[in-house]
Amino acid sequence: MQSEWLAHYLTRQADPLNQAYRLARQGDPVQFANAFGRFIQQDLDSLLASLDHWSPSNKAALCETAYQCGLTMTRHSWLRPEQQSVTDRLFQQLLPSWLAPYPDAAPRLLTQLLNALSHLPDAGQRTTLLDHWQGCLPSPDATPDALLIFSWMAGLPQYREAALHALQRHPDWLETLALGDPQAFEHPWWQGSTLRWHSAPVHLGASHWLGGDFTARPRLLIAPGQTLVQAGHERWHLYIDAFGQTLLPTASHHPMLVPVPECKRLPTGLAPLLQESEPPRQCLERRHDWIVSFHTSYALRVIPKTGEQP
Amino acid sequence: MKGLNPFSRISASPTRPAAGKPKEAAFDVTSLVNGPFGEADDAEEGITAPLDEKLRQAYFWIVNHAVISPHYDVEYNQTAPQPIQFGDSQTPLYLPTDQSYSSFILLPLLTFAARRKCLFIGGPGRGKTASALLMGLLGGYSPKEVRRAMQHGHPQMTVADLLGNPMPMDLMQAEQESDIRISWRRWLNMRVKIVDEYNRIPTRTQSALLTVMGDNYAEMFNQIHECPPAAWYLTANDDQGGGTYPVIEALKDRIDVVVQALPFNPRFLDELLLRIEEGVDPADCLPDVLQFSDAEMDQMERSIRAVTLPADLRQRLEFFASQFEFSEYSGQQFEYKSKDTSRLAGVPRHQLAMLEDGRDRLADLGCQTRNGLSVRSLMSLIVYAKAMAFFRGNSEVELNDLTQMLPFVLHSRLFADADAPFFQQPENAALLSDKIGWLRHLFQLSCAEFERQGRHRKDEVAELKAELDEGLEGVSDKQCSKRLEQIERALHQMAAGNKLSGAVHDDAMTLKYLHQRYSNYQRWLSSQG
Repeated sequence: MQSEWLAHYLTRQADPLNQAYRLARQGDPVQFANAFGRFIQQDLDSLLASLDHWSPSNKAALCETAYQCGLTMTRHSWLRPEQQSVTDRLFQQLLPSWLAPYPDAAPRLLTQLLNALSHLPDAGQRTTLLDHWQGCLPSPDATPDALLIFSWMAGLPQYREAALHALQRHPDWLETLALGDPQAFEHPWWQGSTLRWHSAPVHLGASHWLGGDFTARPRLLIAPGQTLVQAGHERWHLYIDAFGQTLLPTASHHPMLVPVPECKRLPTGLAPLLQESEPPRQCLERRHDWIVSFHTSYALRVIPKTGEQP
Repeated sequence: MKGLNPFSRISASPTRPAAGKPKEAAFDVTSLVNGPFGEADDAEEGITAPLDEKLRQAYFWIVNHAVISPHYDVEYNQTAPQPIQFGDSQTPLYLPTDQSYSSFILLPLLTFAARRKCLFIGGPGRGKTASALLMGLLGGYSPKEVRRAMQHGHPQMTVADLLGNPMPMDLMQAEQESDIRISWRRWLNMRVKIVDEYNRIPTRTQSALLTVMGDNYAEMFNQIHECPPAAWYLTANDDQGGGTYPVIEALKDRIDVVVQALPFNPRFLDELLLRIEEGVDPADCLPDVLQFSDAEMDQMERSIRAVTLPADLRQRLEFFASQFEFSEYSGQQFEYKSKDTSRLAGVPRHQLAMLEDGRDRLADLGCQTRNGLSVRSLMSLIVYAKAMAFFRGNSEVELNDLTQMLPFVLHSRLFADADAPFFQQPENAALLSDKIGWLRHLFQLSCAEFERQGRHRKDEVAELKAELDEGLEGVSDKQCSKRLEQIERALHQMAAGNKLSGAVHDDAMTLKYLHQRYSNYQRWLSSQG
């Protein structure tokens, strides 16, 4: 092992550590043991070796948290081959440099970051968050803002509004991440001065029998600042922008909520963008996007109305 | 080591979201930094869940981690559940549409919250003692303390084994009984008391146990030891007298609820295997946050007592309770027409049954039982219904709380008459052995009859009683006469319109009581000139 301290610690605390392992183990015991063993030998060891200058109590506190997190990551498949590179990068590259100046806060910071990552389901989204994180390495005070901003940019559009507010408090990150003018982010399809406009249409919300959320035909509802989808007795709030798209369950009862009327054909402006045979059921034009729902697929199609369009 | 025990994790989300409370996806930064990796340290500090929430967290921790119990027999529904029929008997399996519970965990937990007495019954090795042990842990004791304090019944158990021993030196030197100091056993001071296999305890020791259970004190050599209020758990392999010694009736009657340990479902063998292979005992892993302090237990008991029982539910309960004690031919005088009269006289039930040709013995619920309900059983029922409402986060008892708690409270208190015509019906034969099912069915039949008679719309006896409950002060002679007239008219109507049943008997007795109160008062008024 690279970290002699970790080797001693594991030997000294063998009983409680083994007990924690036994209680957490699930699934195939051999696979679980291999995955977790690899995490200890490569990820945890690497992290502790790079923080060897810390006091033993700080190292013990971080090690304890990281050990438990490792068990949770194993259970949640973060140590499988398709996710392994993200986890390795996190423990071997990002955490050593980010946590080094903050020994007292390290366990809390680690837990917060891992929890935020757990909201991002695929490895690509987690990689995006780590890219941004590595560029900024926020201090403990700035960590909540960083979590908001980078989680939003990695694919959680429900945090968009709060993240934009937080972004105003960190002009240095705008520069680091090459995001350009923050005012431009008022437009939901703007991705910053490097990536510029997002223009590809987005599908979401399949019918139940296709594995989606809708158990009945969806209907669009609209209120100031809100777009909702209703299917049967259930409602979802539509959050959508260039960084992510999601439907979150809601019971929102806005006093001005009204259904969007049915329509038979597309508006002229949309026709060149949609050449499919499915007729539209509802068409809603918002300030920055077109939203259409279809009869047969029970899905929503959102067509970006970017700033470059007439 | 902090944080290394996955069993110690408690979900931060509410265990029972308030009915009708919407799922909301509004922005909340804590939802981003909380997740499967636990909460940041500073977020954990200072969080105190309401006691009902904590109790539910304890329930779900036990169900998810400690006791393998996939039986959800305490069913709640928001909408009518769809039955799925099985077998030749067309036995329905219902999928509950609201949060439902496992009685084997729930009832002990309610016993803990209300500080009452619970008996576990069932064959050996079904988790009775383990479940009782977990309740001790919730009371703030360590597994070792609970195990050491557990009283194991055996045929040679003496009163001294149970309560304590006199100091040997005092025995030699004392000049009078009060000089003998007693070394009281430590379990007497615990807030959770466990007596394992209580039906193996000799009768004399059972009497000493009765004093502790019933009156909360222990006595030896004229010395008294006051015990703190406690939740009691007793276990027995058999509730039908199969222990070494018969259990004295008074001790049985002190037990508030009886819970049956249901059989192990072999589909969950993998969990047992894991525990064996890994040497895990979940009892050693109860999270500290689930332990209840003295003050919390006091507060919880007060909160349970503060839950209200609505008047319409109380009336249903009154109607139910009035069905069983009445026996028309047990006594000549109205007041003595009870099953207890014939029981005390040793008159066989079948002799009385032969005389009863006037009433429908199939429809009359009173004919299904050998006895009536004791006052203690009704008190227990009310307490447990309130505890159930508290557990579900409600401030008022619901009808289903009563329906669900009633079978467990009356399990060893209301006895079926196997000779009753009801049990001769093929579809009801299984209810003779399934006491829980029978008692629940009995209450449902009673509620249906209550509604058929329209008592939920108009109950004249209740109205007259409520009038008296307002007090006699200021009631004039004229008003008194008017009310007496009303009472007499109601009695005549009752006598003319109904067969004599338990409910009618109790109503008539109530009206007689009201008549006495008014007529005595009227006589007093006349004497005042």
